[in-house]
Amino acid sequence: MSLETTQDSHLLELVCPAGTPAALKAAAEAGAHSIYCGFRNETNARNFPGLNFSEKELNAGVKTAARHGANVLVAVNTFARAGDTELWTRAVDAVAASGAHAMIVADLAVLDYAATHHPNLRLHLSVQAAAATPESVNFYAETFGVQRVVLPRVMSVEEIVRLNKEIDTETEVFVFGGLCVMTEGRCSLSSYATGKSPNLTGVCSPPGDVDYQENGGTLSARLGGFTIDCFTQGETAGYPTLCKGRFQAEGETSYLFEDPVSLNAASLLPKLHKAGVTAIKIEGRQRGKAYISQVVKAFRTAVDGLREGKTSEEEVSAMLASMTEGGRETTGAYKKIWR
Amino acid sequence: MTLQPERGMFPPILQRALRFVPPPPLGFVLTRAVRRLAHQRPDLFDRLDAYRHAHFIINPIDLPHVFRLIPNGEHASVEMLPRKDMPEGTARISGPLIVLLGLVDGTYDGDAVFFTRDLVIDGDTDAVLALRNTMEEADLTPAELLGFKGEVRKHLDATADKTFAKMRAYLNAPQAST
Amino acid sequence: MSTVELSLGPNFFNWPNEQLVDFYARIADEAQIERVYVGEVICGKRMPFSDKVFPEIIERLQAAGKTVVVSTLALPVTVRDRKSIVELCEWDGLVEVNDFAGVAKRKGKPFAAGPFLNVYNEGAAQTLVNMGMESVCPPVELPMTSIETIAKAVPDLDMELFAFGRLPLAVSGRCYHARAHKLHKDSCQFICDRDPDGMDVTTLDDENFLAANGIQTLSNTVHATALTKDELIEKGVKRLRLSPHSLDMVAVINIFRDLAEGRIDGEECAARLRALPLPGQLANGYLTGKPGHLWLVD
Repeated sequence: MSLETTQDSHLLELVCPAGTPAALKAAAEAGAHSIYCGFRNETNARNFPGLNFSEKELNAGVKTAARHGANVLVAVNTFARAGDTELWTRAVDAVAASGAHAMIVADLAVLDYAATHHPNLRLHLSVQAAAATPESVNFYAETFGVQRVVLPRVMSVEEIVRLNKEIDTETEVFVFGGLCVMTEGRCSLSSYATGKSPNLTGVCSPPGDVDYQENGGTLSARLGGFTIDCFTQGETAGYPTLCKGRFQAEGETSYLFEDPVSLNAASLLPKLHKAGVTAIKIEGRQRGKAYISQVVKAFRTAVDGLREGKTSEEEVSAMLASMTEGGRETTGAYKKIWR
Repeated sequence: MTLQPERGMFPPILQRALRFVPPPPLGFVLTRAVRRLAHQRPDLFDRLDAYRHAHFIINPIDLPHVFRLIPNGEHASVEMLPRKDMPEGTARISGPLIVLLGLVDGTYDGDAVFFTRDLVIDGDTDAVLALRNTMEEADLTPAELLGFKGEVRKHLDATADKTFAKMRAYLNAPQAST
Repeated sequence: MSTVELSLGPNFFNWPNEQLVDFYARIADEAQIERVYVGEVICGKRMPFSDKVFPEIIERLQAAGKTVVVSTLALPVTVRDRKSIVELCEWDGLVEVNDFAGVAKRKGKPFAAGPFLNVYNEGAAQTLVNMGMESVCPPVELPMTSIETIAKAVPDLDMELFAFGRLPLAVSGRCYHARAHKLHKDSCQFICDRDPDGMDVTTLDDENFLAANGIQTLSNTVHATALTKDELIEKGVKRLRLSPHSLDMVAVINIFRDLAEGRIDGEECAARLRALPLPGQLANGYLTGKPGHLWLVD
């Protein structure tokens, strides 16, 4: 396919999200090298109402992307429900039939099925599998032939450098968007409050379990009945994602787990490239095409600038200023001080 | 006072004037528009899935009327009702008209205004999310929704775009996300 | 006749060495329990301390006739963390892996899988059984229907149910004890030793919610599986896992021993547990696929 040729022309592969065919088109037009998406069911970790692709839409999306020289990666990255694994195996068959470039997988059962029934289907290990050590990455590579691993957002650049020295698998890292502060695929906070979680149902802090309560000028955001945050008049109310709420511990109120910030590692692109990273990933399949278009353009500029040794940091920051949650950003775990 | 509107609200004098617009014709026009869309883009209504039967109450808080949308494909209906007759729906979306319009034409990123206080959601949030994501995919311009084609559509949309932008500035509405 | 065994899970908290030694000495001498998991699973930084006492703890437990399983880290990060997994996986006895790094190292030799390893269905379980897994304690959010499906589809696998303790909900690269005390993870002063059952995290309305333990987040509630012996056997559960807390664990073990041997039902089990100084309210919602913080009686 086009990957060999595109790999020659860019130092970092830009992997962009699409929650709808319209967003896929927007990402392709904005210069994405690869676009990831999922089916409209529980097999993918962004299982929100009205979002994602039917099989027919995926087939068409692969063609749309190809016209712009982009590859499609399909996320079948939740953990199959016991006794009901056909939904997942059927999704694997559909990806194989669609002509998509690769499938993003986390569950052993799905990996095993894909490796056995579609040995030519390229496999990427989802961030939901949280493989962060050479031992675990090599395990997936040797057992299932996984060719790329999406790294958990808990790793520092130094750790990525060290990891890349000990594995032959390609690595892909998140550089922009929502930030999971807990290790992905190892977090049941959402189901503890609501009964639904990324691993069980493909959603985190689901909107259907959120309610707001106005009380004397303050607005309480609750998830599954638990108050996650409070806002006074005029304060911006962020989405009440459990791990980004305000809690009390040791007699103090704070954003104990993580401030309501989003990840922006644009300034680290040169370092990530030097660390041996193959691809950079933008989070946000639930975001609109306007957002996707703007973020993809900004990062494409940055990636293209790398070749000329430009850092493009200020340019990217300016382009993205309004796109982050509450306007605040963090480089996350990539800089070790975060811990 | 009326010239310093609050965060995207229509000035009260205009709100009062709008009370004299007769409701039924607009509902009729919008019903036809949604049914036409169902014919052209059945995929959008598949995307809504079970929520095509939901009753969405669209509540422009600066107008004297509310809308009830049932996006059930070729049986879809849009009714315009006086605020005092506001029905119970599956979900209700309330906000200044300019913000609601900005959501339809993609001016605002859903995530940016959906869960801020510029927009208030009551009832089944999942239904609203399904509607929001479906509108994202629909990629509609106001003139397109109303069935205009070709140059007329382009002209109308360009005019609407400019007018809405001016109105957002004038009404002190949130900035566009794009 | 079928029986339900008991096991004591690995201790999640940063207890001083004297407390660890005393705790396991009492388990060895007084507790009627078949299996004991021993080892640090949460934070590699605690290992240089506890590693000094674990050999004598293991010896003491084995001398008392308990099956000892060595547990390994859930989230290895540093070179030292990784080395610890490699070394422990060379152990001749049974090893519990909590990360796929351990599966890779243990391949071929029998191992147990802890709740940090994502085994959500029979396909994943069978794949791991083919690699040597002989026992699994599935992730705590997994409902009983799924656990039963796995147990019945993979009969050579010992199904171990997380049956008592604050629920291990998440792990992170960040240390919340350090963060709450405005310290940095690399210079944390081992501040997590102040909270032998985790640091209480409440909501803005002072509602009990979670508990932090270094890089780990637990529930504030104490999960308790109060199914009867017959129900457990019928659903394919071979063993109940009790997770250590600072209260009288021998008393907890005795209560579950009575449950496992059919002398008391779930209701009485819960009532007797409530008489103990539990670190939180009882909960069991996860078993029926409901929010994990709920306590539901049928």
